[in-house]
Amino acid sequence: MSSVQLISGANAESADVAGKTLAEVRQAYQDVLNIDPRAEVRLGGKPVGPDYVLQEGDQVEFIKVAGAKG
Amino acid sequence: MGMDIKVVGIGGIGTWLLPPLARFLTFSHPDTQLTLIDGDAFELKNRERQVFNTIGNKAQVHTEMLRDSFPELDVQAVPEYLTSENIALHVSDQSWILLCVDNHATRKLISDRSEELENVRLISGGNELTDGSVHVFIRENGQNLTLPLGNEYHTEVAFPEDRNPGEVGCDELVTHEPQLLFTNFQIAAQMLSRFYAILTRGNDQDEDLYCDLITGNCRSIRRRR
Repeated sequence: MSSVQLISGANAESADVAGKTLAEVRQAYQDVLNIDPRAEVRLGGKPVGPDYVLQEGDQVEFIKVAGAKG
Repeated sequence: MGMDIKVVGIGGIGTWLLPPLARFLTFSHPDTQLTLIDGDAFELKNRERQVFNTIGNKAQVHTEMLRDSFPELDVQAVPEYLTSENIALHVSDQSWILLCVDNHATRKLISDRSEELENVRLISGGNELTDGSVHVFIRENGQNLTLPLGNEYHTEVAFPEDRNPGEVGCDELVTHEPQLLFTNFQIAAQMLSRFYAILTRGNDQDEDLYCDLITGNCRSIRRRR
């Protein structure tokens, strides 16, 4: 399997998840990367849906919402 | 003429940000005018996360504290919430704005006002329980150098679901969720790091900085293309 970069806020990881869908990866990495359930997903800066099948070299960001409190 | 710096929100993040900021300004930029803006008052329950020495309006209490510690610095208080009615009076051209509020409605208000100005440097911090973020909006000569706070990546700010306490007239209508003082402190520190970066390296800065207290990671992200 091949490497995809996953980013969520401050956290990032290269993962061997090419061939998996975004939905599968989101569920698998939700705790590890602290992925916000509200996070929109972007691939190379463009919105992408949960059924997208990841490819080697993809850079996926789960866009973390701005911190609200203070 | 010295810098004009407005610190909006003197709560969990603001009370940690002010002392080092004032100390730095006193010894590096003593001709700064520093204005603290907040319509809320300290309550005893705030002692868990917030620094203060007496009960009273937050902006006024901290203005007196800073004047005691740094009498050389010009510190003023505006004991009001910023609203659509008064924002033009308090947020003006050439300002630095360090935004430490606890709701996106106020963030949007100030970001929208900033888009009316020719030159402004806005640094906004906010957090959840163990993570948070700092966002930078800079305008120079009437042009956006970075994206505004509410943008395609941050629709939660562009279309806020919470309320500005000044607009509804009662801060009890603002939701209060658990917070951790270490996260407040971390975001205050990162806001100051952004301030120093802009001050010393110029306006070409990334829009978003995320921090995670548990993993220890920080990441800066450029949004504009």
